[in-house]
Amino acid sequence: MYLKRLDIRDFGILQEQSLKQLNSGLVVIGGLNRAGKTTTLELLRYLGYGFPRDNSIPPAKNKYNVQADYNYQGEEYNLSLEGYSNPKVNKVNGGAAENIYSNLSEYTYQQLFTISLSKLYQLPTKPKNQRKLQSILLGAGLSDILDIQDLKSNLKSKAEAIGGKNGKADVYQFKEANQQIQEGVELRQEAKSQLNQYKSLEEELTNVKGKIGEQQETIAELKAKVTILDVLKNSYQQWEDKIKLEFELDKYDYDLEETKYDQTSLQQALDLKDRYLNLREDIKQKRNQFRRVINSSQVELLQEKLIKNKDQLKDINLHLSGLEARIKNYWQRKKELKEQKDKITNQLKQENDSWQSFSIVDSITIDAEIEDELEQKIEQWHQLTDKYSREEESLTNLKEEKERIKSQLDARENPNFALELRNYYWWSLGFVAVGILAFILNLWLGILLSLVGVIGAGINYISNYLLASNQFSQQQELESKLKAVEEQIQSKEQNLAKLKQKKELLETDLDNYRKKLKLSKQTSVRLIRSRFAVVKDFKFKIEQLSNKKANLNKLKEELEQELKEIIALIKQFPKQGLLNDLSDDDNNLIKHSQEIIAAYQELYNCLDLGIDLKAIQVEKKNLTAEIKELVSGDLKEEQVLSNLDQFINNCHRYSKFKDLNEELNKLNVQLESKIKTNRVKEAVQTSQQLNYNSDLLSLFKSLFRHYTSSSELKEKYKQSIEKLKLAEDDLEELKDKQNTIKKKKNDLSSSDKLKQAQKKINQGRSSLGPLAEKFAINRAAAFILDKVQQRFIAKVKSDMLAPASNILAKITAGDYQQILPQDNLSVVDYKLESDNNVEDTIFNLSRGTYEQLFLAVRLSRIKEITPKLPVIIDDSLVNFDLFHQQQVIELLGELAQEQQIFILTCHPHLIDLIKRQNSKAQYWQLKQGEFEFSKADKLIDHLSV
Amino acid sequence: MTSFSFIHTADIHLGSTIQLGEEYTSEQEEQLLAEANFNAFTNLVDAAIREQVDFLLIAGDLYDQEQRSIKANQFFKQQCQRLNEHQISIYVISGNHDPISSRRELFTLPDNVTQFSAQEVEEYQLEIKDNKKTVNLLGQSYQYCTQRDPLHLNYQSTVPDLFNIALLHTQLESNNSNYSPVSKTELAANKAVDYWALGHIHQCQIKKSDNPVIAYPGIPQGRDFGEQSLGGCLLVEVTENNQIKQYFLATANLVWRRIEINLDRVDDEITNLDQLLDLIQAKAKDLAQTLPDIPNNLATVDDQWQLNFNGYLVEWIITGAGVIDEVLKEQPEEAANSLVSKLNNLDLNPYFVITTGVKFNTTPLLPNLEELAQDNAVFKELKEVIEMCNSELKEELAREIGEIWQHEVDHEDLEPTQFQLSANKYQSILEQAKNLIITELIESRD
Repeated sequence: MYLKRLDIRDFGILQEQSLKQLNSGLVVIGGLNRAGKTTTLELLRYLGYGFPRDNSIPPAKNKYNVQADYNYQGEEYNLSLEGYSNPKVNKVNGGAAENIYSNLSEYTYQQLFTISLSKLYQLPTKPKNQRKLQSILLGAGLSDILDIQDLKSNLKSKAEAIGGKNGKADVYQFKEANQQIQEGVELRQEAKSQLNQYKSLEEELTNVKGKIGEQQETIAELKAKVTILDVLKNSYQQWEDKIKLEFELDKYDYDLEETKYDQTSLQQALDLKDRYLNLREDIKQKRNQFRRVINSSQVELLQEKLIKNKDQLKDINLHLSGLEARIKNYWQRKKELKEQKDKITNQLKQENDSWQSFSIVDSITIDAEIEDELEQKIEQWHQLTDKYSREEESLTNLKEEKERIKSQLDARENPNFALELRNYYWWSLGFVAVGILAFILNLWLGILLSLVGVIGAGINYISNYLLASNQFSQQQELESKLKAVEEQIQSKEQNLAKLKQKKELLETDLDNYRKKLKLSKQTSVRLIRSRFAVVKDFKFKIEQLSNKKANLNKLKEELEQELKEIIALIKQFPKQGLLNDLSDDDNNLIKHSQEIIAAYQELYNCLDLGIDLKAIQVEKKNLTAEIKELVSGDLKEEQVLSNLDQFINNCHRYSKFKDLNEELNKLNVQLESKIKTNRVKEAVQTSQQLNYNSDLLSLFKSLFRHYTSSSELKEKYKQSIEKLKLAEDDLEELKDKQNTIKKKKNDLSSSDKLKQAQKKINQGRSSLGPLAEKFAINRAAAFILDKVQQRFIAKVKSDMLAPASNILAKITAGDYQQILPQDNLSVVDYKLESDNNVEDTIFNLSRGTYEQLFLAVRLSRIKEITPKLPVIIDDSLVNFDLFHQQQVIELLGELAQEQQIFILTCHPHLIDLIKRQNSKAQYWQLKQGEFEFSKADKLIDHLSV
Repeated sequence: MTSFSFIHTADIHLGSTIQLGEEYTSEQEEQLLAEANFNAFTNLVDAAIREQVDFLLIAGDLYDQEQRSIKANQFFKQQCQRLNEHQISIYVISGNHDPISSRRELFTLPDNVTQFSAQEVEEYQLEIKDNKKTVNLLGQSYQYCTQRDPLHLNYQSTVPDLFNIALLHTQLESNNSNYSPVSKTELAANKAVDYWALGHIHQCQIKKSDNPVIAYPGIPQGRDFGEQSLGGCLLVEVTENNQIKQYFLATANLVWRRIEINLDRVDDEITNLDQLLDLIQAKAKDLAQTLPDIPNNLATVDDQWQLNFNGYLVEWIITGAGVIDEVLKEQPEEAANSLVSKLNNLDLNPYFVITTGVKFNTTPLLPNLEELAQDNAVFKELKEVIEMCNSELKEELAREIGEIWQHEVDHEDLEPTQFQLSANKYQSILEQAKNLIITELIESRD
C-alpha cells in the first residue's frame, strides 16, 4: 500500500498543499527547521486513524481537512479526514471500502511505523507501557507470551490471595474456613475425650454425692443446734424466771395438795370472822333490848322461862288471831240470835193470834207420820169428793142418757152435734171452774178435777157422738142400751150411797186435825193442810233458834276457857298489869278479851326477843365450834378471833404460794411447749444424742447447763447461724458441682458435641472446598501457562528476534550478530551477541548502537506486518556515523521496494547519500509549510544554505 | 440346603453423623441425617433377627475413633442385647478407626459379643445351633491406627477341615500399605479359609466369588459424597456342602449422589437460572422416584430395604459451555443458594431429594482449543501442555495445586482440612483451568 496523493487543506502550517504522484518507494521530504517537517510527520502518523483531541498535534486553521488517495493491491482508494472524525475510505471509482490502516492498531502503527529519534532512544518508564511496547516490538506470538506472563502472574496472585504460595489450609482466604474446621476438630477432640471424662465424671459424681451426704449431715446437726439455741435463747428469760420462782417457793413449806388454807378455807374463815363479829354485836344489842322489855335484870331466868313455855306461847299466838275472830263472831252471833227470836215471835203473832208463844207451837206435835196421815186423809177426802161428784154426774148423765135414748126412741130425733159440742164446752168450762175452785183447797184436787172434768166431758161427747152416729144404723141397739143405762143408774145410785158414808167418816177425822190446830170447824180441808205447813215451819224455825243459842253458849264456854289459859300463862310472869283485876266472870273474860290479848302479845313479844337472843347465842356457839373446826384447835373464847386471824393470814400466804406455783407451772408449760415441737424434738435427737423423753424440763435443764448467760447463748446462736450458712453454701456449691457433673454426663451421653463438631467441620469444609477448588484452578492455570511460556520461550528464544538480528548485523556489518530476549519478556531489554562478546543489556550500549538496535527491531517487525503501511522516518539517523547511515539507507532502499517510506530530514548529506544509494527516491522540498516537488541536488542546495 | 447363615459387615463408624445445616433440611430430616448411621445399624440388626442368622461379623471400624461417643457405646450395647435375645453371636475385630489402643467400651457388653485380640490371631469355634456344624472364626484386631505388618500371615487355622471364616481389616494392597498389606492372591493362597470377611473399603466389593470368597461388605450408611453407593452388608448363606451364597442386605436410609448435568448434552440451550432450575428439578423428580442400585448386581433377600430407604443427598454439578456461564459467574454463590433453596422446597416423593449444593463448572462459549492451536503457536503450546498434564506433568500439577489437595491419601484418612484429589476432581480442575486460560487469553487479545 502506498499513498499516491496527499491533499492537505488545513493542518497546522500546512495549508492547501497538494502532493501528487507520490512515489510508492522512498519519498524524501527535505526542509529546514520550522519548515513543517514535524507537522508532516504528525499528519502522516494520524492519517489512517484520525486526529487526536489532546492538543498534541498542530492546530488547524479552521478545521482539519486532509484528503489522500492510496493504492492497495492495484486499487485506488480515497481517504478523507475532516476535523476529528474517523477517516472515511472510499474506492476512488466508487463504493465504500475498509480502511486499510484498521488492520493494525494505532498504537502499533505509531510505535513501529513512525520512527523518530525520540522513539528510538526514549523508552517508556511505566512497566505497563514498556510491556505494551515490548509486545509490539517482539511481534506476533511473543505478544501472547507476554499476555501469558501477565496472566500467569495474575492467576498466581489470585491463587496466592486465596491459599498463599503453598496452598496450605491455614493461610489467607483458607484461614477462616480452616479455623472453623479446626474448631470442629478441637470440639471433636473434646468429644473424644468425653469417653474418659464420662468415667472420671462418674467417679467424681460418686465422690461429690458422698460429700453432699456428709455435708447434709453436718447441716442437719448445725440446724439442730441452731434450733436448740434459738429455743434456749428465746426461753432464757423464762428459764431465769423459773429458777427465781423455784427459789422463792423454797421459802414456803406448804403442801400443794393440802386444802386447809385454800381459797375456800380463806373465804370460809373470812366469812366466819365476819359472822362472829356480827353475832357478838347482835347478842349485845338483843340482850339489852330484852332486858329493857322484861324490865328485869333476871334476863337469863326469864329467858329460860319464856323458852320453856315457848310452845304454849307460840301455840296461843298461833291461835290468837283466830281467838280474836271467834270473840268477834261470838258477839255478832249473840246479837243475831236475839234479832231472830224477836222476828219469829212477831211472825207467830201475825199468823195466829192464838199462837202467843212458842209453847203453843211446841204443843203441836208434828211429825212425818202425822203429816203423812193428814196428807192421805186429805187426799182420800178429795178423791172421795171427786168420785162422788163424778158418780153423781155420771148418774145424772145416765139419767139424761136414759131420757135421750127414750126420746130418741120416741122421737127418733136427730142428734144435735152442735149442741153436744156446746155442752161439751160448757162442761169442760164447768169442770175447769170446779178445778180452779178445788185448786184453792187442794192443788192436785183442782187439777184432777179439771182434767177429769174436761176429759170426762170429752169422752162423754165423743161417746155421745159415736153413739148418736150409730143410732141411725143400730136402732134396735138403743133399746138395749136404754136398758143397760137403767141398770147402770141403779148401780150408780148404790155406789153414791156408799161413797157418802165413807165421806162422812173422813170428815170426822179431819175435824180432829182442826181442833189440834186450833182451827174452826169451817176451816176447809185445804186450809188445814196449809195451817199445818205453817206450824211445821214455825216449829222448824224455833228449833233452829234454839240450836243456835246452844251453839253460842258452847262457843262462849270455849272462849272463856281459852282466855283463862292465857291469863294463867301471863300470870306466871312478873309483868301482869291489869290482868290481876280480872275476875273469873265469864262475861268479864270475854268482855276483857282485848286486854288479855294485849297482855299476852306483850309477853309474846318478850318471848321472841328471848328466843332470838337464845338463837343468836346458840348461833355464836355453833360459829365458835365451826371456827374451831376450821382452825383446828381447842380454843378458848377469847382466842377465837386471834386464831382465826392467824388462820386467815396462813390462807393468804398459802394463796401466794399457790400463785407462785401456778406461775411456775405456767412457765414450765411455756418452756415445755417450746421444746415439745417436732422441730425441737428432731433437733435434740439429731444434735445432742440426748434422750427425748417425757421429762422435758430436765432436758431443758441439761441443755441450759452449757450456757451461763443470755448473751453467751446469743453469741453461740450467731456463731452457729454463720457456721450453718457456710455449710449451706458449701452444700450449694457441692450440689452445683453435682448438677454440673450430671449435666456434663448428660451432655456427654448425648452426641450433641460430636454432631456440633461434625457440623462445624462440614460447614468449614463446605466453605473451604470451593476456595480450594478456586485456588487449584488458578494454580493449575498458572502452572499450565508457566509451562506454556517456558516451552514457548525455549522454542522461540533463538529465532524470535532473528529478523531483527539480521538487520542489526547488516547495519553493524556483523559487529552484532544476534539480539536475544531477556528472560522477562515484558521488560524492553535485550541481550546482544557479537562474535566475541555478549551484552546482557541494552543499557550499556553506545547511543548509536542502541538506536540501531531499536531501528533494526522495528524494521524487522515492519517487515513482518501486512498490509505494508507507509513508514515515516523523521531524521532518525543523525546519531549514526556515515557507515551506519549508509547501511541503514541501503536497508531502507530494500524495504522501499515493498512499502512506501517517507524520510523527513534537514540534513543535505543524508539526501546525498540517498541520491547515491537509491535512484528511485522521490524528493520534495518543504519550505514554510509548502511542498514543492524537487530534485535531490536542488534539495541538497536548499538545505545546504 | 442352608446349613447356617451370617451377616458380614464392617466400617460402621458408629458415632459419625451427617450434618448439613438448617438451610438444607427440615428439623425432621436433620434428625434423620443425624441418626442415619444408627438407623442403618438398627436395620442391620433387624435383618439379622428377621433372617435368623447364626452370627454377625464386624470386620473392623465398628467405631470411628474421631467420632467416638458415649451414645454410640450405649447404642451398640443395646443392639447387642437385642441380638443376644435371639441367640445371635457377634464377632468383632478392630480396624484402623477403632484400634484396640483407642478402644474403650464404657459399658459391659453382653456375653454374645466376642472381641478379637490385637496381640495375635485368635480362633473361635462356634457351634451352629440346630445342627452339628461348627464354624471356625479367625481374626486379629489392629493395635494402632496403622498396621504395617501383614496380619494375614498368621491366619493359620488349626481346624482346616471346618468351615473357616477369617476377619481381616485391610486395604488389599500388597505394597507400602498402612493397612495390613496383602494382595488378593496372597489371601486366596490360604487354603484353609473359606471366606475372607474383609473390612476397610467402603464400597461393597466381591473380590473373589468362591474358593475362597473374598469380600468387602461396604459401609452400612454412606456419610458423604465419598461414599455414594447404597450402603449395606452381606448376608451369607452356607449350605451343608459349604456352598456359599451372598446377598446384599441394604441398610442405608440415605444415599449420597453427586450428579453432573452437562449443559452441552442438553437439547435446549439454558440461558437463565429459571431454565436451569427447571432442568435440575426434572432430574430431581426423576431421582425421587428411583431406588438406588444394588452394588455388584447382588441379589437381595427381600424388599425390606426399600421400605427403609428415605432418599438422596445430592450435589448437582453443572458443567458445559454456554451463555449461562456469564449469568452464573456474576454472583455464583447467590445463584447457587437460590437454586438450593428452591430445590429443597420441592415436595418430592416417594423418596426425598435434599440438595446439598449446586456447583457451576461451566465455561463461556469458547473457541475450540484444537482450532486455536492450528493458528497460534501459544495455543498450540497450551494444548500440548494440557495433554501433558494428564501424563508426565500430572504429578507435578497435583503437587502444584496446594497442600490442601491430597491425591495419595485415602479418602477416609484425609485431614479435615484437606480434600482428596480424585481423578475426577483432577480432571475437573484441569478442565476449568484450561477454560480459564482460553477465556483470559482471548479477552487480553481483544
